[in-house]
Amino acid sequence: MAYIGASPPATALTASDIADGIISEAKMANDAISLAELKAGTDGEIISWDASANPVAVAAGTSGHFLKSQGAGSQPVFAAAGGSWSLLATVTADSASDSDANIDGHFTSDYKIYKLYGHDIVPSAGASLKYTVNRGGTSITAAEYIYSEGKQYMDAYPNHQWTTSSNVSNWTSSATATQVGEGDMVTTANRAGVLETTFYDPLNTTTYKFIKTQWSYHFLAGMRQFWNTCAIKNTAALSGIRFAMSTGNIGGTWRLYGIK
Amino acid sequence: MTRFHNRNNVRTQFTAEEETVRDAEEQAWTDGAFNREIEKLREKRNILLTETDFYALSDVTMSEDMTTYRQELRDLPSGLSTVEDVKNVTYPTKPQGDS
Repeated sequence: MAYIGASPPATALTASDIADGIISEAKMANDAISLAELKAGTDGEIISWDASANPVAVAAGTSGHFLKSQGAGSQPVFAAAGGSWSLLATVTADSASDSDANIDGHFTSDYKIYKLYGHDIVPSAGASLKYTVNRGGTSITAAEYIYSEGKQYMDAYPNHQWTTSSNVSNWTSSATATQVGEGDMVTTANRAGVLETTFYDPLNTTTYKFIKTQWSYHFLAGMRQFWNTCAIKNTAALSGIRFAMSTGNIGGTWRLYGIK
Repeated sequence: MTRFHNRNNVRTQFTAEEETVRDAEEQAWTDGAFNREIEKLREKRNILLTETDFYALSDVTMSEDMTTYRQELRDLPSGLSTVEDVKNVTYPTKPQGDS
């Protein structure tokens, strides 16, 4: 700025001397902006850019979810882990109060195969485990079972042996259960049983259904390992499974996973 | 004792009708105890018999001890009338020297 006579005293530049919105990228030095200069945002959100190349906040999402790319042209999102297995339900029964443990209503078109893992399974009395299969939340009838075939290996006196085991046995007059085991499962918590049940496309309406179970448990004289396949002669979709003991209550935890 | 269903962690008390049905199931289970035990005994017995079946082949000579052993196995269920009887059964000892 030109002047005549003595130069004016230096005056510090203030914010009011700079017009709004005129600082260009070129006027900014590299590495000049720290986190402190960023405008406050929402806890948990992250920054991305939208289709107009403008910055946008990606919503915080759900606890336990992971950041998932949606490819070029879309902002990422927080979503559940993309593995082929998903935990769909956990059901815990208490042998002090529960006569059955019913895992029902969790089958969806998102998955083809379902694995149900049971652990810490204990009865309130020496008894045999059994289950019924559900359709629409209700146990199917005896007439719908073709067979429920099992084989078990027993580790006990007089020798280790394979034996056939009970197939379909009566649950009630209107529903039929698959009995697994021979009725003398122990009740102590540190000798709880474990099982694994597989459903193959239970919602399909074109084929009969197979349900396979492996069941390991202790009895007074040793342990037994049981393999069972239940065949159902009906193409209608299934909704779940209900476990109970032949007498008394049942305790344990069941975790249902869907597999894509 | 009041009973409960547990469906997806939601407890629902049995109806009176359900209690009656369950009572009948449990009674049937209790009543069937002897038949279950005797059937298990027969399964074990049959396996032990099968292990020595080859002694009965025409070109094998069965020892007197083996004959007695097999007969004792066949006789195991006879005279048993209670669950305790079955659980306290003593299995015969397989004769030594017979493989």
